[in-house]
Amino acid sequence: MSVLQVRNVRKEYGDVLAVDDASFAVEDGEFVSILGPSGSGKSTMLRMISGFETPTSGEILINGEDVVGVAPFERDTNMVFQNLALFPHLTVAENIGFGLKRSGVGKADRAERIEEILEVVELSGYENREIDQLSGGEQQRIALARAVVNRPSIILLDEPLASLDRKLRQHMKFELQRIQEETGITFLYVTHDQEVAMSISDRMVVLNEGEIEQKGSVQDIYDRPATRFVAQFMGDLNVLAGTIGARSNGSVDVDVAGTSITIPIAGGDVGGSVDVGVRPSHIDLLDADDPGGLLPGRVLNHIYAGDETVYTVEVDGERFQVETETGGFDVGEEVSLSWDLEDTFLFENGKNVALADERAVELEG
Amino acid sequence: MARTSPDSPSATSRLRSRGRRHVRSVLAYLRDRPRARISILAGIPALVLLLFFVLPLVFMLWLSVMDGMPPASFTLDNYLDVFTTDLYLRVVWRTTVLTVQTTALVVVLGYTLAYSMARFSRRTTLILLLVILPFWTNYIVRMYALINIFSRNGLIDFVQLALGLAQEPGGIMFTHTAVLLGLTYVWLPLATLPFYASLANMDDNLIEASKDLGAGPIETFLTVTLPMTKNGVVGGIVLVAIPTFGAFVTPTLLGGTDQLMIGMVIENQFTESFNWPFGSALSVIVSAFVVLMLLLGVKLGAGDTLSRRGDAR
Repeated sequence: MSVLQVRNVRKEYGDVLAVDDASFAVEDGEFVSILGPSGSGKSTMLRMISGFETPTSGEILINGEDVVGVAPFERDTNMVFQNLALFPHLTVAENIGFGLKRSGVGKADRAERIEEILEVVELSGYENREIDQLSGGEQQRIALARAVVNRPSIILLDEPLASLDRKLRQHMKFELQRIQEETGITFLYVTHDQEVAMSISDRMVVLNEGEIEQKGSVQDIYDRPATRFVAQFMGDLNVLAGTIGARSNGSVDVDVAGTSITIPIAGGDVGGSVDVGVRPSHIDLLDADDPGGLLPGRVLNHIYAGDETVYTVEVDGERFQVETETGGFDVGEEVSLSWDLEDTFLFENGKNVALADERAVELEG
Repeated sequence: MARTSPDSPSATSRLRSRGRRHVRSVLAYLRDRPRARISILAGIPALVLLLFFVLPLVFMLWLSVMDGMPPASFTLDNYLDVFTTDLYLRVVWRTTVLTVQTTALVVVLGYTLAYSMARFSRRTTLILLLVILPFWTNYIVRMYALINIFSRNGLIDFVQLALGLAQEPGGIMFTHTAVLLGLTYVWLPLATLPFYASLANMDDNLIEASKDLGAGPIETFLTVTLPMTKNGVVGGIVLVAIPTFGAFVTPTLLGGTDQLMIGMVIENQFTESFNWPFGSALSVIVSAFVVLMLLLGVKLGAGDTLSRRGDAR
């Protein structure tokens, strides 16, 4: 049974729709991320699960029981706050033991569990320290320990890594993953940072303007984004406007930037306008007259980044990012761009044509 | 008058530029002498304190051990009188009771008001203004307003008669209750401000964190909100308790001779009995009590957190 089920949840603040008909489930022991830009409704989602907000409509089930209307202090969830919200008037041990004390765990058991969890977060012997004596990273660990020690059904994390510098964030990211694996507790992590979400979660829910754009495994969402928004949010994407010229068995001819490209995607309406998207890392640069070139362009800028070079190339008035190991093209030089046509995304009205087509096939079958 | 030009500077502008030069040279002198700078900065207030605070205090102490207006000889009779006369002991006791009651009432009402302003209200500024507003009204005027409410056939009587709670108008003037209500009314705004400041400074997430960890509303208040705002509470208590203990205008107007407070007795010694040495002895005792309360407040409030942090580093 799913630890958490969110069913058709909707949240309105007056006229503002924060979450629109969201449904997803989190299985026991999973690490799931809710990913979305600021204002996408992801924090509202988390606050509804923890009990600080009540959905306008819909159900939230924890271990199969509807918890809508149940107070936060009676829910089997624990939250790690964005600003951590450690109690500054209590010691490390008192902070971690706060939840245990409320649930009636005896003094001796409490001390034992605090010691255990401090070992897990690698801060053994920190029991009697004051919160303001700790570094940012140590405070993160204590905030996490304060939630994990209660062994709730699910731990809700509200971007706790956002305030850390890049290096510490990289480190804490793996720590989070390790602690989650060691304790086996279900984690639901809310973030706007796709890089963090991709590297630590098993599955993701991508939110945009209160609506779920896509949910699935990290790999699936990156490789097969359901919408143009997801493709752009989950990594860089170059986009050109085009028109579907012709359709044949299993592929379409798209008129783009003055040429026609045959893309192996079955779908789309002839004459319909589409967005053609390619990730910078998939593109390679060739000489202007190379027969393998798909689109002509002109180099505007290049930056060496170790093994590869990042080019900015003007294609049909648009700026393309190209990440390639091929070097040697100068600024102002005419080039042609090439990529494996399998790596092309085609979006019609913002929706991925390839996935829409698959769904149609599924329905027919 | 002719405008000055650079070629023919007038007398005033010459003077002004010379003044500026002097100021500059004094500043330059001080810039390299941090000790001199600090002595000047600290010296002026120290002098004021010495003249208007320390000297009168010393004079009061000296007067309290005289057996009459100076020149007179040394005696401790004034202090002995205070501690052996029933009347004064009763007055000190009544003053203490009124102070504790007033402070307790003010803390409960003021904290509730501050809490609702900090946590629930969208019109915090307006309410804060309403809290401060009574300060802009003359103290005596406010007292006469209270007298109108408390006296026979006043507002309280009117309401009680209208509701059938009382058969005859009586009023509550010159009672313990009248003094208590008057003092509470006067000090409530003063205490609300530090309560509000400490509550507004508190991170709301702490309350959510506490609830998230399983503490109900009352437990959250007792284990998180109250400890987090302890300094504000202690500050408010000190602000109320000290002036209440020395109050004499409010109890005189609302309590009369039936509700003597120590401040009234002291005032009487200076303005009517002209027994300045005895009045001084009473004042010294009140001051000692106030200093004790302050020390206690510092120990309970700011001092505690400071020393905890001090230990840590």
